Amino acid sequence: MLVRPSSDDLRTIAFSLGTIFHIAGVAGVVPLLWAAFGREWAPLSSFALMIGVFLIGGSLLQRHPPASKTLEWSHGMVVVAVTWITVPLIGSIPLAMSGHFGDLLDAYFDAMSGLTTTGLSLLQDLDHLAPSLNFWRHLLHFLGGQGIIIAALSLFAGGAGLTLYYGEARDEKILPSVTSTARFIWGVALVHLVFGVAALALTAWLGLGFTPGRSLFHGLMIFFAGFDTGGFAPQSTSLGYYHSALFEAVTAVLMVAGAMSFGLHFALWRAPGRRRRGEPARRSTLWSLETRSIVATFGITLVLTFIGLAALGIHDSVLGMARQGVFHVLSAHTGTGFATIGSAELATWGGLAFGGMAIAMALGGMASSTAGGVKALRVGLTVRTVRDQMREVLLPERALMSRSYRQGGRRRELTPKVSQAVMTVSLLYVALFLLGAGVGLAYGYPLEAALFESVSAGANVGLSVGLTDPSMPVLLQVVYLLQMWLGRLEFAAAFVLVGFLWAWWRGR
Amino acid sequence: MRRPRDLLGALLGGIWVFAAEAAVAAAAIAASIVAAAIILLAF
Repeated sequence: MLVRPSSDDLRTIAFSLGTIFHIAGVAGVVPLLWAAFGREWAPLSSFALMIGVFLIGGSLLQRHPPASKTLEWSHGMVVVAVTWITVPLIGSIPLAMSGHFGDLLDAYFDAMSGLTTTGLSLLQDLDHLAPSLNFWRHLLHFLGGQGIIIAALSLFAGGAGLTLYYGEARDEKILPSVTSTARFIWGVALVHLVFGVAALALTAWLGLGFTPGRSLFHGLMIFFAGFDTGGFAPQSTSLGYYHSALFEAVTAVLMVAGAMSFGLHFALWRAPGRRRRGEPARRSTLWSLETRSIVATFGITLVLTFIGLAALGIHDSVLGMARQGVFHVLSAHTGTGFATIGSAELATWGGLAFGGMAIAMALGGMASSTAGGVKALRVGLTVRTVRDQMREVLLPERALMSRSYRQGGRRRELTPKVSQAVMTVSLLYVALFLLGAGVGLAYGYPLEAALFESVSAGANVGLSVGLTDPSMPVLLQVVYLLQMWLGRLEFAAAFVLVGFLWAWWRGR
Repeated sequence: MRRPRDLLGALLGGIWVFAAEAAVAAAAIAASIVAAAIILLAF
């Protein structure tokens, strides 16, 4: 029998959601101040409205506090799933009022794309968008990537925060408590913010001749979109605007950093201290199954793309092909979505170049990072499972087989339960990609383009071959919205929300 | 005195981490140049 959620369940969920609304409202003060400083009065009023809705909404949700503030696993999942629907909805207010979107759905699409760190956009005339609004779009990447949830974790008691943490598909607890893990993640982001913005701004200032103020603006925007593997850019031509190999190289470093798991960040961060103390380097932590998996898939997809480009005869110089190929494969594999060429030119990359890029997008970055896609750890475990199955068939019946893998500095057992979970999520991703491709095909788009765009949306990448356009069919737009949401949450939280709503409707 | 030491630690740690990530990106770029050269030669 289905049990209908109690009023205390609803209060618990509403209370947590209220806290997240308050945090989002406070975050909205930053673009508001930016608008005030830049004397952008129309955006300023829209930011004030958005902040008001967040704060009043948050307070209303917290009007009836629950009897117990203990957040159960299902509560946390529901909060996360609802957060990723409602925060972009309210966050799209300034975008909808900007006059740069065809309708409200287009503005919501942009905000959802921002928060899920996808990077697909329906914004019209980006090059004339008010800087404060441009800043808000990129800040959404930062909020989504670092996780409003993670920020909330720092405020919740340890146990309560754990369910939110898992709900957001970050399943690697780096430090003993989730609160300290959340603080470490924020620390990593802040250190990268300082170094990343400085490197990009200096490149723009000294290398490209930008004014110091403009260098800082572009550095900040590209940092948010690069480190959080988002893909928005301040100009309509994305990274092609800068025409600079050095700028692309600095951005590549940020994309690599963004796609790295926070566990790997932690190991890297602690490495000099271990060396100072004379402790042996934990090579197994850095060179884990996940690292080997991503290095292998990056190499394979890069070679596929190069063969495709060579076959198409687009490039006649080694450096030209290497620069364009490595940047786009890196952008696709890390789930960032930056491009140095337009979507019309990208659409001409047929054959193996298309295949390499699409596979790179689908596979994605590391688990517990801001990247989307199937994730390198699942890819590694899937390959390991298939290998074990084959060995089982080939070896004598009485042979003993070790089923383990190295991850996070220790050996873990590859149990049937782990294999099953990995395979299930991987299959769900394939189904998600096929869903968008099917709808695209139904609207008459070519198979390659429909599949490419669908994978881009579902894996939260943001590279486009032109289907994502203000004139696109509404149903396809809704499907991409759903794909971005499901891809970001890696299904679990979304399924729990559906189950929760079903129990509320049909339960007793 | 703890705060300045923390800041210095974060600064040095940031330089180390950023340098390590830059080395990974540089390795990827270098490998891609070699791969591009071989593939273009083959075509």
